[in-house]
Amino acid sequence: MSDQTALDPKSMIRDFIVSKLLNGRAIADDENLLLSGLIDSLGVFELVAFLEKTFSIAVPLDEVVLENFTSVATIEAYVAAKKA
Amino acid sequence: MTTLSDNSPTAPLTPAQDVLWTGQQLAPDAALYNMGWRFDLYQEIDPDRFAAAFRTVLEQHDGLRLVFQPAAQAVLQHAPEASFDLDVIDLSDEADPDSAADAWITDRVSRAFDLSRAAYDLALLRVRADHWIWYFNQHHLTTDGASAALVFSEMSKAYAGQPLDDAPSYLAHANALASGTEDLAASQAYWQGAPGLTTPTPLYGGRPATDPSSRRVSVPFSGVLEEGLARAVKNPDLQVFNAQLTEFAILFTAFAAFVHRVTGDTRVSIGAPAHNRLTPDARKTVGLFVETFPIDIEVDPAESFQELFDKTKTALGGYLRHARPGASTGAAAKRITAVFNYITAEIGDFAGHAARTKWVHAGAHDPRHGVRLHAMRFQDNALTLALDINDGLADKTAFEYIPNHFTALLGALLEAPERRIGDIPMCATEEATRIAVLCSGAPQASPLDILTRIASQAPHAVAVREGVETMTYAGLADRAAEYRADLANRGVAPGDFVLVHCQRALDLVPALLGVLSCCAAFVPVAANTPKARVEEIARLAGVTAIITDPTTLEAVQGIDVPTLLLGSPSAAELVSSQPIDPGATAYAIFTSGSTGTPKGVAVTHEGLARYIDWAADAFGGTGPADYALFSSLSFDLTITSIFAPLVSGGTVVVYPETGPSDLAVLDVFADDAVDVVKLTPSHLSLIVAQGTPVKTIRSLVLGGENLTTALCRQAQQTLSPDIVIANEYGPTEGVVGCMIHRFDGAVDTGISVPIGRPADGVEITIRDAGLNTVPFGAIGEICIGGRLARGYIGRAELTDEKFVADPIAPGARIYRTGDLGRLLPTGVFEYLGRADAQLKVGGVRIEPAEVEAALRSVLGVRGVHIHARTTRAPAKACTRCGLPDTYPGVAFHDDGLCAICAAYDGYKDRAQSYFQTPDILTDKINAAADKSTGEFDLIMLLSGGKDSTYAAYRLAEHGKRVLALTLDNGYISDGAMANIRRVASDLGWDHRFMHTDAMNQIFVESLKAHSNVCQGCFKAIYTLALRIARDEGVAAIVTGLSRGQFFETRLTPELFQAGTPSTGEIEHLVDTARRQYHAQDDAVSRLLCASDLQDGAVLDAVQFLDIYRYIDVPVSKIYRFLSERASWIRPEDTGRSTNCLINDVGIFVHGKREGFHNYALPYSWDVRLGHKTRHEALDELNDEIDEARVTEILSEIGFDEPVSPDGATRIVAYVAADGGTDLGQLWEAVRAKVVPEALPSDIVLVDEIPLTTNGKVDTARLPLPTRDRAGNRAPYRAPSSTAEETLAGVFAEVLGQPRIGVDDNFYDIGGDSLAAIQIAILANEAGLSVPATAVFEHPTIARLAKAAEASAAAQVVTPETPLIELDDEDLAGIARALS
Repeated sequence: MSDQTALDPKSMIRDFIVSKLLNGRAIADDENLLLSGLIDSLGVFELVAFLEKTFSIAVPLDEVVLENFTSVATIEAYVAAKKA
Repeated sequence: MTTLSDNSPTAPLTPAQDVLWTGQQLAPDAALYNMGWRFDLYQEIDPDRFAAAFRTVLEQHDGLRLVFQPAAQAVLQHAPEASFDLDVIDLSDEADPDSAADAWITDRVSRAFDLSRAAYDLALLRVRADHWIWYFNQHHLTTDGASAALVFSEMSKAYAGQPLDDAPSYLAHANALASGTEDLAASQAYWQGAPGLTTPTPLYGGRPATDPSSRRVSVPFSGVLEEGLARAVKNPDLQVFNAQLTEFAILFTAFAAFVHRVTGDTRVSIGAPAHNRLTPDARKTVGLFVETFPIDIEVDPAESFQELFDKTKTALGGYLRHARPGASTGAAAKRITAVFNYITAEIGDFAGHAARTKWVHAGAHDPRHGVRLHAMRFQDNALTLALDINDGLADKTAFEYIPNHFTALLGALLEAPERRIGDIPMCATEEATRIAVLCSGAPQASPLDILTRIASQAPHAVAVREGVETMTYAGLADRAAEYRADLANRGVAPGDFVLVHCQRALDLVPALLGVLSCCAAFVPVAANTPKARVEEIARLAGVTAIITDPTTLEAVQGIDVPTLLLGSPSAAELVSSQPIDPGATAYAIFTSGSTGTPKGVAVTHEGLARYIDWAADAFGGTGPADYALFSSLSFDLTITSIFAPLVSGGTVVVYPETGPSDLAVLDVFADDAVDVVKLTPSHLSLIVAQGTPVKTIRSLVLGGENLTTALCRQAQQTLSPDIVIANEYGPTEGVVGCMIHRFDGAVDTGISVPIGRPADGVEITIRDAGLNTVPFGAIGEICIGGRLARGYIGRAELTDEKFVADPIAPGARIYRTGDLGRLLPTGVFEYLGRADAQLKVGGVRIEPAEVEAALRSVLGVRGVHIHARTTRAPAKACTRCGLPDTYPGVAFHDDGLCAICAAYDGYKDRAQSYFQTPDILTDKINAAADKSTGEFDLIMLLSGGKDSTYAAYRLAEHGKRVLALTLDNGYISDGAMANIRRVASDLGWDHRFMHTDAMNQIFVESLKAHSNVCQGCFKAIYTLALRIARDEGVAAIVTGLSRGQFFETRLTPELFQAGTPSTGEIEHLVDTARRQYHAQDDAVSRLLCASDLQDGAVLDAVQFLDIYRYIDVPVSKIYRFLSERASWIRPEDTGRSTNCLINDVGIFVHGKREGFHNYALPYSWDVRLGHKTRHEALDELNDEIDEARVTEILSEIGFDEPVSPDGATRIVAYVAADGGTDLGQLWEAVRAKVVPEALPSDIVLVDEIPLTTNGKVDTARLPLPTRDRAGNRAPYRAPSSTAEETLAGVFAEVLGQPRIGVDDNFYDIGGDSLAAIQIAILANEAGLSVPATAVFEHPTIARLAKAAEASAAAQVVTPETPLIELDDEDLAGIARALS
């Protein structure tokens, strides 16, 4: 865990998605994760749980919307906005 | 990775598999979890090529090859080499190959798997040359919807000759899950549910089903619904994350509304399978990933679908967050009574040719789920809906309509989400029409008024008789005219009310007719009515005259209206009778309102005439019938006995009052001189107990209370086999009776006698909260239309509330009875008790009649009454001590004073003699010190609280060698610990902490038996301290019991009621009680292995000295002393208690289970003794409890019951029985016949079931229960045979209790269904033949041992035979116990 905390948020988010939800398949930061079917709703909520724990933020249900979870980039932007 | 001997890889079950495995073990022969598929392949299939393809797929996917190896501790799965035979069946020569295929599949899919051999089955059916069916069935343990779709596509590829990709291993997945480091605690806690969550009601008010048989019906979903859904998914108000979740949420919302509407529950828990395939690898793995989690949601019929949808969204958020692989728990699964299964698994072409897919129902599903709704997309993205419905609903509901109930709600949601859930009619036209027909009684022609009909009888026939005195119809007419004249001459005018307050007498009948013929109304009030009530009724009705007799004259003297004595109308001048206005009031009956104010129900002449017209035919048949007039004049049941005989030309036979308790009913049956007797079931129960046959009485009409078939059978056996028993239902507001059912022993085999069919001219409907007619089988409120009372006298508001406009039939008025009932498809109505006194335990509606019938079967039982005690918020508190009125068994006086305060005033001076001076304490201390033989003179119980600390300082003044003892119960606060240590060292005393390893179990037992923790803690303290005193030669134990505690437990009002006991007498009582306390062999004693103290010898050697018996000190002084002179610091970490953290748990559980604060009584004594103010006591009783912390502690100590196991309702069975009937027999009878959740909390033996003067059970006079189930544990008996010893060991291991007696009941000592299975497994391993359900049938070690020994098959189980064998009865037993 300790080396992870040294990573930037974007890498942490990408690492989680790649290792937990994609069995190691590489993804680009702007790759659409949802429409492509790579991640479905259960996966999104796995991701929500990860974000809440890792970045100490609360993700209310009404913010779990497509716009926020489309790609690694939008997720990172969402987290950054929450932490700001 | 674990391996079998042949080194092939194995894995433990995943949590999802575990749930299914357990379920399947309970029903090994049922196809509960068969997932059958029918793939129609539109091409010529080459069977050899097909078999080769399947072999390839099998080799590639270990999940397909799984077999299961059961063991006692765990179940292992492994995937042996692929081997299979492909059955090829050619049906193309059949006359109808399609139907032949259907039949073949239906049969084949219902076969259970031998999971140790293979969990799949397949065949090829040739329908035509170019149409084959691939039949494929898997046990759910190895598959789910996505898995089946994957196997299909793999087969399609393999058959087409394409190579398959390497597939991930299911065994590897299962092993990874088992060794997973994922923290699921938060999710598991989420699924556990909130404390106090109760199990929901089974659908359509059914009982938990025992038989898994079920059928699948498709839900019509096309046209309007399909288009509506397509539109709704785009509705901006109905959006969740993505289109799929939106569709899920919409369908779920409609289903939640459906479950609410057919259960009446406002909180529903619907299971929803989560696919759990989060990764691409998981999506490529064949096997079971799905786990089912409940979505809990509150449904309010007054809210709109939109509002419910918004709640669904929130609930769905929680669900998605916590639906993590491996997070399922048993508790979560248990509250699911319906399942919503949303599957998307696209199944396309097969090897380039068209294919169709059908999921085949295997004819069974988990019986706990009344219905399961499947929303499926397998093909062409088309949504299909189907319901699996448990067959058990069949005898109560009309199956075929159930899908309509759901689509009615779905349609409303799609069309107009703003509509209220409770407003939507659920029954479609056909069902509504069928119901409407059954709800209407036969049409009734407008009957003549009563007076005209009576006048038309033969003038010389006997109309009324009392003993040998008779009155003919002509005489009756004359006499009635005299009363009419007398009343009119005293100013009684049409529309007036005349109070008739007298004993039953011959002249009563003409007097009533006289009132009616004045066109006035009579208000009958029985002679034994308290004066104040008579006066109140007279005032409320505004009576203008009174008919009375010498026995009641005094009671009415204060009422300032003309009074006329029964038997002597002064008819100076006759007046002609008035024409009767059918709409005028004929009589008013006053019933006890719930507020205590009598409420008068006014009935019109027309209502009375219609009722009597119907009743005379229904009860007496054609021709004159004689009726007994013996029941209370205040009760509308009596109306029948007065008027029905007169319109039939028969005789009213009058039986006068027999005394204050008025049991004239006994005379009626001893006399046996009438045709018809109308009485209450309680009365009949008395008569049956008398046991004298009758010859003349041919017909009984029962009313006023629920009637059981057992009582009817007893009555026919005892009184006469030919006696006709009619069950009449009807409230006073529905004019005496509006439904009737004639008991038929051959047909009426249920527990209660149905209430049958509507009377002539009456319409009975069952409605829900929105006054919609409910579907067949569903439980709702019984509403009456047609013949109704006119309303409540002087209570327009109440009248409007109860007599409402019928929203279904504009212009009509219906009366809401507040009674629950249901309409069966056979057209018979069932009565299910009062809506406000529903007996529900764990969500399951309990039929009190069932418990009653079981108890009645015990020899010597004369009467039974089942009573529900429900918790409620206090309405008031004693004006002096603050005792809330929820405290059981304490009456409140008019001035607001509780009965204890009132009694205390009368005996407090007399009680003072118990308290003694400090000098006496000194003497006793010195004497004890002399007697002590060891290192210490005295033992002091030091809890660390204020009372015991102050007492310690006072004891220290005596300069003795004191050993201070504290029970470390694991929850003593840090602050209190520090205090204890400081105080002991301050006083220079030795101090020890006492321990017991069983402390948490003691808390659990104490909570179960007493709903508090203190009782268990006290017993542990006394037991451990007595042992130390005994072992170390200490002659006295000093306590800091407060004076309040003395009054609470010793100096009670009862003790002083009969006189003034001497100090010696009180001491003797206290000593006796203490000996009984230690002799008691309760669960806590056993956990402490306290049998060494049971004989009481230790109490001869060790005495108790209660310091506060000798010194009196107010609380303020204690605090002042402690703060100024002692090293005691008030802890800040314990809430109100000054020493203990678990105290709040006791308070919380007690409040939930018993409905009052467990400190209510102690605090009231503190106030009485001036140690607290009333205000302080009320304030402390109002403390807020940290529920999260309570839940945490409950889980720490292992409390495994719901806090509020029965929705705060306790069922108490009162039994009147002959001497010689003991509680043990009664418990045995109920346990043998009643499902565990319906067992009463208490059985109380009483001399007689008290009856009101109306002949109904007088619940106010029932004593409070004093024993509970746990306290009723059998005395300990050690095992005496090898089998008993083996079983005792097994029970002890499984239940984690060291000492279980051979007569202890499995349920009482914490057994549940899983424990029963474990016991069976271990017992079988130990060489006893014990089927899994045997534990339910033989719930004690002694009986189980006997059963095992008796079994001819008693032998060591070999690995070839299954560990447990179950037959249908076993299954039923388990399902019953599980639910």
